[in-house]
Amino acid sequence: MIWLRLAWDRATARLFVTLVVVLGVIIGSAVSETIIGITESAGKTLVETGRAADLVIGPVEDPRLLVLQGLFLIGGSSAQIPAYVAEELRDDPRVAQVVPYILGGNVRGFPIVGTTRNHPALAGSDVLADFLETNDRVAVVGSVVARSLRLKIGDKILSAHEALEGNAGKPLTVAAVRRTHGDPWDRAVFVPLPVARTHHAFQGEKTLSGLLVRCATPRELLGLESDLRKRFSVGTAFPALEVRVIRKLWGDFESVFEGVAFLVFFLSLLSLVVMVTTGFRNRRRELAILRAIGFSRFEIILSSVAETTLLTGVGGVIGTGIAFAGSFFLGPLLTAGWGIPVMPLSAGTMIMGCLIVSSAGAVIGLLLAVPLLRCEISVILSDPLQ
Amino acid sequence: MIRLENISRTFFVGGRPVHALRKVSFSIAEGEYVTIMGASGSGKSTLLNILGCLDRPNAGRYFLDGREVGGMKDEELAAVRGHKIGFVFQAFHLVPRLTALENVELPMVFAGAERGARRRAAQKALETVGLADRAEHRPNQLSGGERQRVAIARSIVMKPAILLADEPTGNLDSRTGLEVIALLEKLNTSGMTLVIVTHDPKLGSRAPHLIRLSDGRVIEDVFPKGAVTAKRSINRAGERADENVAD
Repeated sequence: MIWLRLAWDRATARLFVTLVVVLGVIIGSAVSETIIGITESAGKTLVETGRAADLVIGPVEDPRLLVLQGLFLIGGSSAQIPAYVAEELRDDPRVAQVVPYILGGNVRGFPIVGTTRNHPALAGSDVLADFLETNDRVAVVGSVVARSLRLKIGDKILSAHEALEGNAGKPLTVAAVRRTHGDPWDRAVFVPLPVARTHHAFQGEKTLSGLLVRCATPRELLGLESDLRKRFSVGTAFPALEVRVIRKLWGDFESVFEGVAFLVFFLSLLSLVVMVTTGFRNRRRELAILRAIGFSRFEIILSSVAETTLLTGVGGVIGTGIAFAGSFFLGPLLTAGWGIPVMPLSAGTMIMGCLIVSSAGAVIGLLLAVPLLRCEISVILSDPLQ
Repeated sequence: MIRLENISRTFFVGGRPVHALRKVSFSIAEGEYVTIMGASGSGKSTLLNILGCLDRPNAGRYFLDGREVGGMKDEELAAVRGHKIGFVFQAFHLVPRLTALENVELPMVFAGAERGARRRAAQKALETVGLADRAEHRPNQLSGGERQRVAIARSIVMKPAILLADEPTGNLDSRTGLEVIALLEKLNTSGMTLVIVTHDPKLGSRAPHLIRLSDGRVIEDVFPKGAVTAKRSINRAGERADENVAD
């Protein structure tokens, strides 16, 4: 491992410069990985949330708004659909599942969703689902809501309207906290459907905000959607289709963000290149001396690659750690603030980030070592100006 | 130990060939003290680079310990440089960021020697050149003579069979130069083959074996003080010199 020792010696010889370069790589990898992590996470959540239903049914309006409202809890509508639509759909053999929902009101900005136990947000947790089967004024709050409002089980919460009217007699009791999924429902307050129906902001006894529908088989989807529009005069939207459109729009932002990430990362690597090429003549002479006293080309290339990989590796690992912390703390803020669901970086993303940063260092080391070694040793050592 | 047969080396400068060496042939026996002399541009440094396996000839054969160097791969040449040959350069060529001791240790790092052994050997080499007390100084804290002595210590730390010195006194004042030469000669008396390249006639006349170059040819290959070693080498060298002059 002579090459490793050489690399270490060279890296530590100019400690200040090395630290500046490592700092540059840390900043570069942290910023780029945070940006990429957040955009990827948001994109992934967008697609996964879109898969929660085959069809969203609501008042007649722009299908995209229906999806944003019904699945992503963004925006609101005062229009409603008749509750019997849900009853009739339950008897339709083409339908596998119907989830009614009522949107109206919020708790300190977090939307209240009145629904039943089979809402996709509660899938896989009977304990949470059971709370929505009652008529009690209970709430299952998303993790972001709980964290932001510092709620724990048993706490009382008031909707914004009731708080505004000073109606403290009708609070909701936090029955459970839904764990973090990195989806839009992390910032929702789920209440039983009858409780939402009695809510001040909701106007109808026999109406709903909308329905999330799962078809028995995908090929029934088009026929069902067409029938629904004819029979009930409702608006319909295919989440998969709408998410694709949203993803395209989001993709433009993603490209900008990724461009920024790439630029920051590129600049950090540039600092490494500048460091290695500064004192090119000294470095070339040093390599010539090493070759003269017995080091082979291969060992010298390895030492150069190891030196740059060492710097980017250390910077990459620390930067990835910071990126993880960044996504961990920024994620909930973005989710709470703008409804962008963001999860902390996954282990796979972090490993990939470290590997990419280190590999970039290795490539730089290799690219810089090869031209150095193409010089004739004898020429370099004979010429006092070299 | 060293045998050169019709070695030629041509460089191309601006597309035009420059013949640095033309059919150079001579032998150097083990333990000899040889000076290679010539005016500037006569090809002596090129010859030393070829002897030290830092450069390869375009034509001819170079035998080192009976093995032809021309057929060796890069890795083998590196190993030969590391184990058999020690270099002393006119410009010292020490690594500025390392201390004297660390510079001397470098060839042993290549050899994979353990840290303790490296330290001991480097310390001993520095003692040999009289610089034990300057071990922790960096090159820029040393005088020219001291730097050259560190370079000599580095060149002998691996106990090479051959020591090649390219104008070792070129950057030194005359008194310091003589001290360095005395040190190299002392190493030669301990059995190390010493080849010095110089253009200084005084220095050249100190060696028992003198090879003189002009325009890339050997014009003289003599033993001015009488042959003291390797008679076979003397005869062959004389013949080669005649051939080269006639060429």
